[in-house]
Amino acid sequence: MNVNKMFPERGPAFWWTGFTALIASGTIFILFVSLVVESVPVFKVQGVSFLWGTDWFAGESYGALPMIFGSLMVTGLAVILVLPFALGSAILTSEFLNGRYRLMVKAAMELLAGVPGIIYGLIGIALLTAAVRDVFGLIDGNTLFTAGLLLAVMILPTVMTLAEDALRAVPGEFRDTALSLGLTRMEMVLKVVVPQALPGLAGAVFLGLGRAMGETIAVMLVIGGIDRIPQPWFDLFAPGQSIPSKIGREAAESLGFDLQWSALIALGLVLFVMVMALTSAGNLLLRRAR
Amino acid sequence: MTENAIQLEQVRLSYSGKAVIETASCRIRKNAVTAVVGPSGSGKSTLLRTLCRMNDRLPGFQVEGSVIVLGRDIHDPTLNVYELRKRVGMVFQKPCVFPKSIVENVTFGLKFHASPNGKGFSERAEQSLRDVFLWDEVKDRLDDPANTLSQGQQQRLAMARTLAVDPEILLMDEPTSALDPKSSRAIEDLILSLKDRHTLVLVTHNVDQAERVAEDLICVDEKTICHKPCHPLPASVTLDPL
Repeated sequence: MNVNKMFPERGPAFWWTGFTALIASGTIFILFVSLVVESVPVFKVQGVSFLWGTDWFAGESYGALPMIFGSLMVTGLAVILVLPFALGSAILTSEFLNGRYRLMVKAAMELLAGVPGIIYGLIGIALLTAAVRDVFGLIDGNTLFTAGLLLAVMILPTVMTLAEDALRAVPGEFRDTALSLGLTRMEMVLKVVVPQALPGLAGAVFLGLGRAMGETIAVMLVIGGIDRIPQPWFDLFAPGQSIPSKIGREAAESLGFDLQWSALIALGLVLFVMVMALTSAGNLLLRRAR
Repeated sequence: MTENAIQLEQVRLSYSGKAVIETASCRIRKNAVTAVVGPSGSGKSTLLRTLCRMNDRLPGFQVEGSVIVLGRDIHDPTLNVYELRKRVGMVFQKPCVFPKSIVENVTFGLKFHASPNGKGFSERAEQSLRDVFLWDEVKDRLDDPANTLSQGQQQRLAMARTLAVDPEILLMDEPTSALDPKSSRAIEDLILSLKDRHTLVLVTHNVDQAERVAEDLICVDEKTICHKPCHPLPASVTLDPL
């Protein structure tokens, strides 16, 4: 490969930006490598059964499946719960609200998106767990469902405001054209604007998904903290555990206990790979949507 | 006397109280080509868009006076605006095709008005494409993405899409300003071929073009309009205040 051809103009600007780009991409690489290296011990002892083992007893065995399952369940639930509300409010804001009101909603949403997870967590334990317990007649309100619901509330502003941006980015000519053909506002939105904005909408959802999957503290406070897959598996009203909440609970105390530490790092590696897989799947979908 | 398709009486158009057109009264004849000319920013497009209530969406936009289109006041609260827009089609300055196939673009508006079983769609699509002289160019590639067409072809496709809905009036907002001279002439020929069956209103900043295609002329300037039902146009048509 001819390097000169790849980078035709190599001035100071090239070297400086190249250096910063290298650091940025190198950080991800180093992060990944250190996760792999640090998680080697647990895989040496347990083999790949670490991934589908269901028992996690510090000092005895480490099985990650309940945490992987918990993460997928709460994230999936959050996305299913958030979609109608985020899309609905994004459509309302972008298509039906006029300037000032739209900006007010946007400002509120962007403010909400910046509220720290711990605040949501506090509201979660103060109100949500009790509400879920009473509404569904449970003994304890700390469940996978509660965590999913809280996550949905947390990612709503992010997903909504990104989805709204995607809808707004559809050029006005398309709206004019659709209306001039005699379509109603709703037909215009559903048949012209939303299809055009689909890549951006999917991007909004996947970004929300990423945030939900990585959220630690709020989930930790309401998920129940039991390393177990519910029986039957779809019983969302049972307590569970997600990967970040597990790591968050045990990281400080396990620092120094070799195998437990390594097992937690391995959990982190699994989370990393899962988020990566989701993101690439999202990108693939986006490309196909175009 | 020929029937009027559109009649404006003492119309005032304004954005948040600021007048775009102070007073406009004019008649637009049925089955004729009327050109609306005037300097940029004089409110030509706003006037045109008012005729099918495309400005409804704009906050602060207000119409006073009476706008009668096809015998009805278009601001009558009982009027179905979607029905109005079906009868008064509009083609915009920049060709705007949907990211779909050529044939899907042509039938796009039709699908919302015709019976849902889609009978006769392909015949209608073919007829509309023939009307805009595009059929021979695209008949072998109807399922290709519409954005593979040239700009001039895309504009004719946009016109075919509007014609497929079978409007009685066709409004065109500088339909050739984004096109090369050859494509512009094709659109002009097309306009002339359509006037037997449709009433055409064309906004243009090109006086030569107005002269080539229009029978009637409306000049918009200084927030007022002037009606010139004359053909051929006097050689000295200017856009100065009249």
